[in-house]
Amino acid sequence: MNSTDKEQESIADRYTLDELELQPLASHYRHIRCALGSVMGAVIIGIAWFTAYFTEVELPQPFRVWETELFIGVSLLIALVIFYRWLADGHKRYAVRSADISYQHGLLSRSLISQPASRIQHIEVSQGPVDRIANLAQLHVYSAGSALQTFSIPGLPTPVAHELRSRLLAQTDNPDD
Amino acid sequence: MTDAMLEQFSGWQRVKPVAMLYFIDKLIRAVIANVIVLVPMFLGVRSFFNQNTLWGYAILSALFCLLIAYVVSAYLTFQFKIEGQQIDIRRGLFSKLRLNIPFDKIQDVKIEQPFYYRMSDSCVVIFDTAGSAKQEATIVAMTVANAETLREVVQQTASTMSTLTATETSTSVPASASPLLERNISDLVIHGITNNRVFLVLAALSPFIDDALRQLDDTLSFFNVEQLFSVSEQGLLLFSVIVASTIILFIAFVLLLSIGGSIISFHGYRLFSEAGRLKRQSGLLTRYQTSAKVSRIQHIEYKQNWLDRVFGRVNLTFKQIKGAAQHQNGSVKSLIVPSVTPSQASSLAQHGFAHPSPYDVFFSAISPRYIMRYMMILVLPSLVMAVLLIIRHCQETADVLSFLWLLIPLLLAILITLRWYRWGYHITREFVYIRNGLLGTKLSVYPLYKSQNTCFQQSVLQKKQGLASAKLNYASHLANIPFVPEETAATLVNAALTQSMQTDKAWM
Repeated sequence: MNSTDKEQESIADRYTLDELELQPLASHYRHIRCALGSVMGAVIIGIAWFTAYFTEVELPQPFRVWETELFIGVSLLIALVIFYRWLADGHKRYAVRSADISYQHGLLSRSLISQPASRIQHIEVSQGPVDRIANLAQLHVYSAGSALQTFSIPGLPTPVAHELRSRLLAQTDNPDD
Repeated sequence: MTDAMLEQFSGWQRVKPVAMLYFIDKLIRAVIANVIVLVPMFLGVRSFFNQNTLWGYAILSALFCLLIAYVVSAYLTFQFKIEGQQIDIRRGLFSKLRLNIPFDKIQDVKIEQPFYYRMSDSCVVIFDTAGSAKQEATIVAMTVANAETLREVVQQTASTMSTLTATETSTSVPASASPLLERNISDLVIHGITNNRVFLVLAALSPFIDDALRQLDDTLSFFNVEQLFSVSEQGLLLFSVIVASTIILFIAFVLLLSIGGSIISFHGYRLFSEAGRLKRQSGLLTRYQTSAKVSRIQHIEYKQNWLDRVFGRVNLTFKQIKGAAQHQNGSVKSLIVPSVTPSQASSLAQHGFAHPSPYDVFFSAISPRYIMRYMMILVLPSLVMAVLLIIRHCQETADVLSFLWLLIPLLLAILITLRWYRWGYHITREFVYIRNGLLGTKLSVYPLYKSQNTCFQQSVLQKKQGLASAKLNYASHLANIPFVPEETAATLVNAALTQSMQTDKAWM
């Protein structure tokens, strides 16, 4: 056991996770997500409420008795999801070093994904309609093997996203690519 | 010699007439592939045929002539030339297609010999290009000797273009080199027994299964099966004998099919190592020749299921990049060596990349907290369910059999413990070894520098216990080590990151 410990220590760690300087996302990102979630939730509950009280449509028998309780339950669940996302969004971080980019996320189980620039297949910056109004952008990073992207960092100020993209592209632009 | 050989293909020319067999083969395959569409169509027009027999025959023979005309025209329009480091192919009568493939764009050259080409010493040459998956770059007939020379020329050109493999090609071995490994029939029988290759046979038979089932139905009704499998008619003893012998017969039948499948796909298995590639030849009906570039091998797997353990055999697999680019033309994503002994496996694996044998390293166990976690997630809920079910049953009728529900959580607990027991890891300066499995085991060796990205994962509970999970994502597979001390996980992730950022070696 001791010998393996020694061997592990002797592996050169030029790049360690400890030295990452994790940066938070744009401060208004979680507010916007929270607001969007609330609007969506309100719309869903609104439609359900309208259907229940202003139309002929009725729930099937076992649920009809519990109509009010069901409404409260679903509303609470939606509120809980929004609150959970609010907390989780606050824990999203990213870090860029000379040769890699990392993204940390997760509230109960935290993942720190690191992508060396030399292994990046391509990079994308995307912006939804709300993102555009809020001047935010998402940075998608793709590598070989993973069918989907390695990760996408949401809620970056647009200029930061574009700067990161060109910085990483310059790194990947080496001859053995 | 190679120049003279290439010169003979310098102008547009047709392939050998035997290629018509190839087009017939393609046609039959197309018909079989569309059998779902064609059968209802046939049933639809059958009544017409019954009423107008003469017309029916006329249409049928016209159709037949049309098919012959198609085959002949496909043969006549197929032309190719090899000039100035590139291959040109043109084909098609109504929709003309012209393909131009420069040598340096070719990733791999595969040579296949379907059984109907055996007599004429011909083969099909398939060029694997990284780009378009749809367009099949194939020379449909060529003599084997010419094909081998062509492949050598193409591969040399391709690898001198990329400086990485230039040193490897200088030590090129002639095609007649002695193989690293040959498999004889007894090996293949063992492989058929230990690994279920039934699906290989079933895939080949799929068009005929409907008919076979109908036939089986008729035969069984003749034997009066219902009477045979009835306890009241036969008595309990005879009934159990009949059931047991049916099961044994069924297993024997499946086993025979599996051995057949193993022989069909691996007959005459030979493995070569030449010019930085591993090359495999095999196949009873169609001889396949596939090769894998050694530098593209991402990780190596030593796989043993429980039957392999009984026979003391291992299936060795060289895993390449998974994904769309490798899928075309049935190109191999991984190269498998069936049923070798562990010592053979570890010496063969050195041809992929040099590494200490996984049978010599010490595997550390992952934390028993792994068991705890899945006990909480899987066993506890199923235990609660089982108890609830038993309580409900006992309220209705006191039945001992209802306690069988408890078997589900018990079985889950055993499987989880077994999975934990199998899971082991070993980290060296250059490699990470992972052992996992349930009844069988899989030993995987990953070179650290080939990792694509890394993930360090820790839940709130794990943090309290000083544990974490390390995941290294490879182009072939995700290497996952859960529930290890957080320092170990960090060391592994750091080492993989450092090596993939610093190393000058390309990962493919």
